[in-house]
Amino acid sequence: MIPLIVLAGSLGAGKTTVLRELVENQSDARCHLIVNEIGEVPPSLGDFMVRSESAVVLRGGCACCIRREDLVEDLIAFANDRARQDKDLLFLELSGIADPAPVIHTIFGHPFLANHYDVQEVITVVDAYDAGVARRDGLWARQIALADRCILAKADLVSIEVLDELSDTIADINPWATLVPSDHGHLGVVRERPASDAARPVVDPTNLNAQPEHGTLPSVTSVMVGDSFDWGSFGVWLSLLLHRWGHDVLRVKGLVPASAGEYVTIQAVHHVVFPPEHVALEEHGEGHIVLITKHIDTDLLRRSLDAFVQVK
Amino acid sequence: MCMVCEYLPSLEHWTAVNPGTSPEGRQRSFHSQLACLVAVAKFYGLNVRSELAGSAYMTSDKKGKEVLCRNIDEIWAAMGELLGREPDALDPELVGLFESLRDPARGAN
Repeated sequence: MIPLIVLAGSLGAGKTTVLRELVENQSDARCHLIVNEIGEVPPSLGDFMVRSESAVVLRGGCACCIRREDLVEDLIAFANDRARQDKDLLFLELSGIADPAPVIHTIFGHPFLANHYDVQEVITVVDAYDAGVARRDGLWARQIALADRCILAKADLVSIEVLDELSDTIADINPWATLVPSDHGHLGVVRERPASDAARPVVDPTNLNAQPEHGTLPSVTSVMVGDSFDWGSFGVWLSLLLHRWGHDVLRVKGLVPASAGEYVTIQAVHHVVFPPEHVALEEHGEGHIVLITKHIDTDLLRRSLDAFVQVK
Repeated sequence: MCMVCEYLPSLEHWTAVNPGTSPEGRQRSFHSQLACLVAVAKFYGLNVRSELAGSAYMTSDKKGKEVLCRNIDEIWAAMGELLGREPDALDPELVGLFESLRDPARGAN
């Protein structure tokens, strides 16, 4: 399987600067890049070509929609490249208007790509300096909701108070994303999060400081699960939920008991559920499920999950 | 592929990937899953049964129309086709049914 890291973020957020740093930090891996540029003018890849083994530019459209077929072709071509080695690591930088979800759908829904690529991480670059404007856009929240790690670019240009407020807003949208400030692309220390983040209560989006002008911010529903958790019923519940509401379920993430003493990770993006993976006993904390949703009655969601699968 | 009916099982569905490593755990999960599926189907006036040694399901309505399904996702699609509307995990009446199954003292809301 080829490790793949997806990089998302708004236009001008600083994705390319962060990508340079990420590539620079990969001392053991042979980095390859696929960069999606919305415009016809290709980005300057001069620096990348020095540090990375290869770079492909998808330009003149967005990889999550009109250039999706081209992305599939590029990914297939890369996987079939005879020169490929075990140390290869592929970065996919999406355009500033791209939603990562359709890209992940494409990879998991494609028989060849699903068996050749391991989506290791979705990184979203958040413009700390311009977040006040960017957060009015529904896509901004979606890119954050789907991230495993949020990099707060241009953190050196804002005060600690602004950074704290932005971190809180991001945590309300996506409680599990790691937050890393970035100064001129140099990644800082992971920002400390409250220990209770995994069990944050349902967030009322109306309580958030900044209201989006378009659409609403996602809601977060967190539940703790114990030994009475029923894996068989959970599979039925989640697949039924995603069948009808997959478009409004931005992300599901969790750690649940599958049988006596065994825990598995759960991850889903819209209709797509990632293959669950076993977690070593010493690595797991308490069982939990977090759902990031839009346009769904979160009280009913919690009630439904509780009815199908006993939660704490 | 079944040489008799040319049935082609799908790639393993995520619900079957990791239901535990022990045979007993897998068996327990399978039965729990099937019981849950049957309860949902019954709520909508349909039936689901296991076929081909647990590798597939048959979804049917009371008129005898049957749809062979390779995994749970196909069951929901089949139910939508048979019902003319999509089954819904957030249907308050379905939620009430499962609450009463979990805790009979509460009764269906």
